[in-house]
Amino acid sequence: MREELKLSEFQKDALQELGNIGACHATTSLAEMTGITIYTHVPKVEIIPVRDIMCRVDAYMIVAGVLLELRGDISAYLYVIFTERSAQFIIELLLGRTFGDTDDIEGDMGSSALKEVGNILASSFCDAISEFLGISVIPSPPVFACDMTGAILQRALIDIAGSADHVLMFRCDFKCEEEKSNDNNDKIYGYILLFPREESLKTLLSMLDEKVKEYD
Amino acid sequence: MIEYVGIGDVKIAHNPEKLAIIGLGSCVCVAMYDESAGIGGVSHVMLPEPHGESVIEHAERACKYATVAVPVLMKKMIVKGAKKEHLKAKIAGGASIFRELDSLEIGDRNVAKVKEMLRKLDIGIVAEDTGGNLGRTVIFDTKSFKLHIKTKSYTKVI
Repeated sequence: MREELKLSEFQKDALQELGNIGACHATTSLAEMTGITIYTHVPKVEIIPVRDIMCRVDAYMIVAGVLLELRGDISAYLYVIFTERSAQFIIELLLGRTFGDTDDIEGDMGSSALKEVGNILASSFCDAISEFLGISVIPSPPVFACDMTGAILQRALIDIAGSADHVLMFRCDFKCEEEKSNDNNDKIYGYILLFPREESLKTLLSMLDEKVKEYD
Repeated sequence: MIEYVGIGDVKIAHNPEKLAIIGLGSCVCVAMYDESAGIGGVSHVMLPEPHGESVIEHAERACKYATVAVPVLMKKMIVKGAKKEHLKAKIAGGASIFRELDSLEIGDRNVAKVKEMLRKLDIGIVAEDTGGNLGRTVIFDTKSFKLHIKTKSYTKVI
């Protein structure tokens, strides 16, 4: 029998904080790119049985997803997910087209733009956690798909959940500033998902333990 | 009533219940049924087979693999009253969502393994909607024994 994956409250907080550092850097670069203030929600760290994963995400909802594999001292899958509407908004903004005429998120221009956005967010995320932990994490080239959330997430799961019954899912939602004209409210809405491999999770936890000792 | 079938789950239902898998990507939905007994079952397969590690001791949890899930589904159907010789199957899924990434072709391998297992058990495949690049949501109706498939660009009943 394999050991069951469990986290103490402290470990959960530490991982959440680590993810928070990464996510804040990532959304800052999104804000710089778009010129729009982005709010980051408090991130969530959850250990989920593989069979329940599709219930914990909006598996049916169609989203634009950029997937990157993180390699180096940590091995994980990172997703940058946007709602269809906000993917379209970002494409229009970056390509400088009139709002409303970019119908195809999956077209060459659209998907390249989104891949690039995902790439920049993921790189900022990796830089921030690499710096914090003093390690090296490098993202692979981004790949893109616009489809049901469940179908998009399966790509990471087939790799990570092949031998494990539980996976750790880190999720951080972000959206644009609320106060501005109501019109803009949900123009940017998305989230970052991180699925570390089982052995990388152990590495991460021991690095975080070390980090705490430094402060003691 | 619709019951949801998670990754690696095997569920059996009786007329008129429905079994559903939401957001099926490279995974495969294996629906099996015995029309005369009014029983249907669905298995949500994620990978063709386990590598290395022995999974026999916890076969129940190993149902994310086609090599384990298909025989377990058949056994469960028989336990619930289906007749082996009446069993038929319909399959869906096995898509390749990230076209640029899938040198692995995991979807195709899943479908091939599921078919191989069904052939070994001598259960005929009546209909299928497999491969392609689109995610599917699948509902199996144990009243009509039809598989209702929905993707972002088409819907289909097989």
